[in-house]
Amino acid sequence: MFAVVSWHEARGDDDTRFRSVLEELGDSGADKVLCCSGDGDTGGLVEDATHGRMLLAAAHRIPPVLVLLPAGGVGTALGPTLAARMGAAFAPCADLLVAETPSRPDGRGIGRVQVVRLVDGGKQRRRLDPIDLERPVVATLAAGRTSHDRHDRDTPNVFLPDVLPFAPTAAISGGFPSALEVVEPARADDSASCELASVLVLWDDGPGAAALSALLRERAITDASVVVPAHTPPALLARACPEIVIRIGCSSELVQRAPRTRVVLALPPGQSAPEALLEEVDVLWEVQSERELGPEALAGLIAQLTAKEAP
Amino acid sequence: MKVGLLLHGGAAVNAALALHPTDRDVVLAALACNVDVIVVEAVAALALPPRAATEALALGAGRAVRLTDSALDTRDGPGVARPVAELVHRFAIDVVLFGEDADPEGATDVPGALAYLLGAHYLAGVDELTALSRTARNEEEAAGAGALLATVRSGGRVHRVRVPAPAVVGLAPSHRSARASSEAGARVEERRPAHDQSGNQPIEVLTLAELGPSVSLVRRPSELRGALESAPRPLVTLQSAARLAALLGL
Repeated sequence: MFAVVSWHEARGDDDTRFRSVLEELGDSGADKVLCCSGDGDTGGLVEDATHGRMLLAAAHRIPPVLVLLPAGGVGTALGPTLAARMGAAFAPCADLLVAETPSRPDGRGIGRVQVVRLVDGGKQRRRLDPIDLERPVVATLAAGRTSHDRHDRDTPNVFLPDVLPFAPTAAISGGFPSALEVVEPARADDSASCELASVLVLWDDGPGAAALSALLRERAITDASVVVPAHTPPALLARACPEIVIRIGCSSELVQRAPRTRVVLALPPGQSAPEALLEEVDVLWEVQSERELGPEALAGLIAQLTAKEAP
Repeated sequence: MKVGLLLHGGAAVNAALALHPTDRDVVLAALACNVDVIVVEAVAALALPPRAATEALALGAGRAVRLTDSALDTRDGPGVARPVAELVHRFAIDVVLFGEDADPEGATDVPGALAYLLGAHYLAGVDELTALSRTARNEEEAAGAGALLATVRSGGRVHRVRVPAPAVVGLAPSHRSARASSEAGARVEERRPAHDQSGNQPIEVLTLAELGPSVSLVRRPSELRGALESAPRPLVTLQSAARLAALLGL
């Protein structure tokens, strides 16, 4: 597995930061890192015009069967055009699975990595097998939690993948649109964390959500995000594709969902859920007491759901 | 500036779809920028009623073109994008807009392939579209009147960029925008040309043969969206946080 990083964004002038990026990539399963040295500072803007050339150069250097991007964040910006340039299929908000049944009459196909994604409001799914397709697949994946058994390397020490520098300009020439013209300085996006959260809590109660957010920050739980849908830009919510969504009350805001995504509807005592809403959820949590929906209790639940070490 | 609204969902599912709420917002956002809007719809069967195109015209779009051919009944994004690119060239469309969640399967493979075929910029996750002239603060900016500005959320920041031409631009869903849409719709209603009031604008129909690309380049053997299968999702009901943690814990 190759990870592709932009030298400027990963390293800058800070070797310590670069090492921590490498550690994180190695810990996540990367064997080698393709480190692009040609792109400058884009001010945080990630679009096809700023990073497309780098990704295509990486794909030229190591022709991949599968390209994985995050569903929230850069996936929607970079995935479709990369797929078109590679002649690949594009699968948004997908999951990976290993085939358990043969895909061919001769019994072959077991153990292959396949890409699945939901369609038709989650009632059906599409399955892509890059080998059968005889083309690569570019997929965007849901923000998932890290499993307990990720440390399956031979060595107990930190695994640092090999770094292979490359420059996109050497491999790719012409055919790319010019740079984008930024007309005013970028400003911080306070709600951006919800895009890449693996556990997303949608809570209409503003003070409750603020208290829960504060507790999560205090306990250094960074995989989860709490948002008040009415105060969050719809564009951000619409791009988020978490592994677990906890909807408290009957908020009708929707986020993307991958096959692995589980939507929990937490129903306060005495409330009933409309039939249409139940079609969108996987788990109905009939809360027995108001205390279970307090910030403290919810923070405890989220800590359990995002725990990186086995209890 | 000529702006096209890309409606490719009908081809993807071979059905007469109504105008998607995000596409509706796209039309209204474009009209609010004082640009000409051409609706570009790809469908596999001419018999399918042009519901989405008609609704877009009723909102104020100036023109609609239906690209129709049975070969468009394909799950191949680049295959559908190829004749659409020809159509964009023919009508000299500068910027193609699309609603990011408007495709019935939520895929943006057709717009991505279209940008590649046109050699155009691809801008995704656009929150807001405004005309540059509206925000002009000096003569230099006013000279760029007619250009569009896009607000993009990316990398934890909010950026404002000038939409270059040619470009394929995806507007992010804004499901809460019903009120804003109706307000913008009222503004558009005031300045809609008289010939639009009748609601009888003609919809041009073009076939693949008229546009040029070979049918074999559109209908290819590969189903790039993958094989369809059922995905049962039984509802689980529980009463305690402990059981929820046990069910969803790692």
